[in-house]
Amino acid sequence: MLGKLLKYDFKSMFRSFVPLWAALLAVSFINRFTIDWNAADGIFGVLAAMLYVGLIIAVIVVTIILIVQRFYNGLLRSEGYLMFTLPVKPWQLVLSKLIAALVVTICSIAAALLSVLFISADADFLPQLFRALGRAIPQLTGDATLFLVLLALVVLTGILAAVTHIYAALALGHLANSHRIGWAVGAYIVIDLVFMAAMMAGVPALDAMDGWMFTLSLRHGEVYMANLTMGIVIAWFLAQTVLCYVATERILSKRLNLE
Amino acid sequence: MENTLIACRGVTKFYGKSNALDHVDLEVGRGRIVGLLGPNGSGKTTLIKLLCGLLQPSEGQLTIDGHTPGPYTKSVVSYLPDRMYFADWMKASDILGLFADFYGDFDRKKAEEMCRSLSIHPSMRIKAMSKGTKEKLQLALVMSRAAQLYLLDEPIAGVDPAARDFILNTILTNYNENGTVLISTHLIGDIERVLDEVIFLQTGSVVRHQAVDDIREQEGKSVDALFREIFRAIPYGGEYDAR
Repeated sequence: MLGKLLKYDFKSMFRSFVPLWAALLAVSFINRFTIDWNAADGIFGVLAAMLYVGLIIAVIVVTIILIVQRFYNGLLRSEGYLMFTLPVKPWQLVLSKLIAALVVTICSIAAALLSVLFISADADFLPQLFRALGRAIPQLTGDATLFLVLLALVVLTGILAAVTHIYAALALGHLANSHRIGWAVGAYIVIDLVFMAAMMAGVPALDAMDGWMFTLSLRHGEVYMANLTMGIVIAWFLAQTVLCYVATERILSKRLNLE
Repeated sequence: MENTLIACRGVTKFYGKSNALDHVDLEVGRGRIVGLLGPNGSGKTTLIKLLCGLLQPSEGQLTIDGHTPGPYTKSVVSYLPDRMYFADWMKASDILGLFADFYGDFDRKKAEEMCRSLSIHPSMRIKAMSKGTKEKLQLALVMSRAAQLYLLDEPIAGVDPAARDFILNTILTNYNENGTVLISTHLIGDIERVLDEVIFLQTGSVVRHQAVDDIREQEGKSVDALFREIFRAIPYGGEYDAR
């Protein structure tokens, strides 16, 4: 059943996103030929750069908006009458939306990176960057593969935490009788504050571990410390994800009240 | 298969301080066409939503085919809400595919034939359909399932008389005869001829639950007339004499 739900969620997401990604890549591809980045300076150069950054920001914003919209319209408005009378459990409905949101966000990031690549293919900037990376990475002591894997996981769990955070806020807003969006926005802020407070509560603990951490870093090197830090960050993101996911699922299972 | 399809015991639903349903006890058998009748705000839609699993009761319990509302009951209940529930961007073929994917009892050929007779092409987008066409599409899909229970929430409200006949005929010729059809409405005159039994709901309580034939025999009047009698409210300025 989850697979079938995913099919429809992907269909729905992709038909909004594919034109967006195509537009981004098309614009950057065209710009590569029309703008000579090496010679670009002065007002024209600045404008072109600003336009380009604006485009990237637009992709990020639209991605977030579409993820919110898909969840809200798909489950909490009229379409919810269809979704919640399908022979599936609410956790499957939420998980399907979450997976689709994750995939779409990764694709948006990939599209943004690709477009930067397209645009700067002529410039000296990227070749220099790659040369520098090529020199730096072999010099890293310790487990560099683990580093990259953990880095990817940080990004993935970060996205999951952000998306479930939105879903939980929308679900909490749904509990209100009116002005549900307003309450959802409020809920989002509250959840944010709660997680920040929890993080702050962890700071004294980290302070106390300072001496121990220093010894560790002397013994195992910087990459190990970076990996350890990333491990902690991943665990924190996962905890947020689980909390928000469970809250969303419980509310939709027990307190659903479609207009 | 047990003869009782729907069983409600002490079903109560609060919305804040108000009681949408108040300790409803109800049993509905199989193979019946039942009218759920009552004025606006009597709790009809709430009861239907509870049966669909779209709401949880505040108190009491209800079962369909012996199960509390969940994935099993949703697989044997075919629900027609009083609103459009399809995503705008979908085509008719997408929706047919969705029903075929999720419902084992969905007869795709039948649904496609019904669409053809409604002049709905598989590639038509929901967005491009008129309100009446969308409603008929939804009805076609719901009635193409061989469900144990059909829940139709106000299927003929806001629809012209010709369309009403169409809808009633569609319901009568297409439902699974071992199944039960529960139609909620306040337009009794049109629907009376198809009903086997009626349930009258008033402010969240069941005030009558009887076979239509019994009512006509005992009361000597039509269900429509009985409805007007039970739910009579004296308008401001006194009664209007239409003679």
